[in-house]
Amino acid sequence: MTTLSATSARPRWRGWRVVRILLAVLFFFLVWEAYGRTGRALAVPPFTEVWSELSTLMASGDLVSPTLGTTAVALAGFLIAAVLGSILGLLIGLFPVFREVIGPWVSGAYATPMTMFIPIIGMYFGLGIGSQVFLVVTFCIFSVLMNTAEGVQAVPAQYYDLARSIGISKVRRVLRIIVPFALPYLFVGLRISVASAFAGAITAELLLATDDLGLMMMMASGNFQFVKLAALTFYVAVLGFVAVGLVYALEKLVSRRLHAA
Amino acid sequence: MTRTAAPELRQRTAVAQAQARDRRHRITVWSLRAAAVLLVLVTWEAVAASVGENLLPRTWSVLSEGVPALVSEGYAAEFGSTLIRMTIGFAIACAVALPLGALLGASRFWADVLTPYAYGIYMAPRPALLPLLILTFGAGATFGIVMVLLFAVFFPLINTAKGVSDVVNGPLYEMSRSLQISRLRTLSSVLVPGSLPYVIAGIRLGLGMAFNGILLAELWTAYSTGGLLQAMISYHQLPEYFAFAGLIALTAVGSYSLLGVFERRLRRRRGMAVTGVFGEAA
Repeated sequence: MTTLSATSARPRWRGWRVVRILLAVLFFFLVWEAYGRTGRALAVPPFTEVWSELSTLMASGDLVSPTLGTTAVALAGFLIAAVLGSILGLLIGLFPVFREVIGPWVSGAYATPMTMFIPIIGMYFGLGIGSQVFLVVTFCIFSVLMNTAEGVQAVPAQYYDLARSIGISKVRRVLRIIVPFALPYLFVGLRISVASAFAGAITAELLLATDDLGLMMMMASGNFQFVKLAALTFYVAVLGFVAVGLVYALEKLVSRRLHAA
Repeated sequence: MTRTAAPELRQRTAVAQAQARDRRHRITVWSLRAAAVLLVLVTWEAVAASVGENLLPRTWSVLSEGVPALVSEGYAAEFGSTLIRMTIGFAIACAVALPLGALLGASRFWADVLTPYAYGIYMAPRPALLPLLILTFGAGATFGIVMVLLFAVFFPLINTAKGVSDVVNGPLYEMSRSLQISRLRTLSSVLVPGSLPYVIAGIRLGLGMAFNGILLAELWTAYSTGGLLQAMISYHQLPEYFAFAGLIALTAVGSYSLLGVFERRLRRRRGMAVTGVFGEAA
């Protein structure tokens, strides 16, 4: 993912940026509230109603076990994808043969819409946690894999020359040069894929084996509890933000450690 | 005479050697690639033979039963209608994403205002919107189009922003400003060509999301292509399912690769680096 640099180099109070961002977010909630109050769309109750419904839900404790269940599916798939993706990415980045033979398969699989496999995943893995986790893995492995490979490729050739002239072993070359260099890339992949992991878990709980938060949403929708449905949807979105935020915090922590070392 | 000819000769043999090495390398790669395809086919056959055709059809059944059914049963035509809805949704997504992306990349103010929305829509698990959106848009064509819009808008937006921001902060733009070249001219000969490779990259990645979005929407509502995919599994028509999935994959991978080729060509022409194993990926 790209970070955008500022367009002008004029120095000014940095707080303005924060204020503007907060105002932009506030604007969203104001529009939501205003549109909800007109009562035109059933699916868009005013934010204040959604919020009070969500607080009641949270206070009742009904959300705890579904949240844990959904998070467990997302986390399991995410971890499997992170391990497999970074290993494969490392191999593709390190060995030209891998890159040229396996690379096209990876690009092809990435471009293939994985959602079309939902019916057959259900058939093969059964309608349980196995199929849910498998779907999450297909949702998030590619961003880890591709970003890791990109990171390994981005190691400047001088580093290799230097390593060779000092004569350090291949294993240490990987550990001391490639891993630290590729780590920021890996983290970009992880950040993207943790968002995909939640998307995958919710998709699995809605379309494969109805369970946890997906089940709650389906029940709210089936019972015409639209405010509850909106509250759950908002809650799931917040969960996604929190997950990305956590990976971001981990990234900061690791990179600080690495720089200190 | 010989003294001057010797280095030239040596150089020529070095070039010839390098070419030979290159040719050998290419032959190795292509034979390994062919071997990989063969390996996949053999594995498929072996697995199909051991688990039985009611779990995995033989490749021959997919070709002899599944592929003709694509035409005779009208599956391909149904997928065509799905593609039309996807294209409409994706066109709307691009119509939204490109101007907003340009704004985001060119102005610091709009970057602050729009970035939370761009990343918000990306980080939120969009499939969670399925039950809510169906209330608003019903289970028909519009639902799919809206899902495509939500799925596909992020990549063209953020990549356009990156491209425009790179140009605006680059030397060419500054030069055109200081030479007081007209805004229109700057737009047509600096801004658009400079950011185009990024825009194409965004479109390529967004298109992949568009495929996912439309299929998810149609699976959720058992509509058109999604309905067919589900029915094929329910009625155990596995050769048809795999042929149909193959058609969808071929369309998605084909359009993705074509855009990739176009993008690389543009980059080369602009003298930009053609970086990365997977191009301007995720």
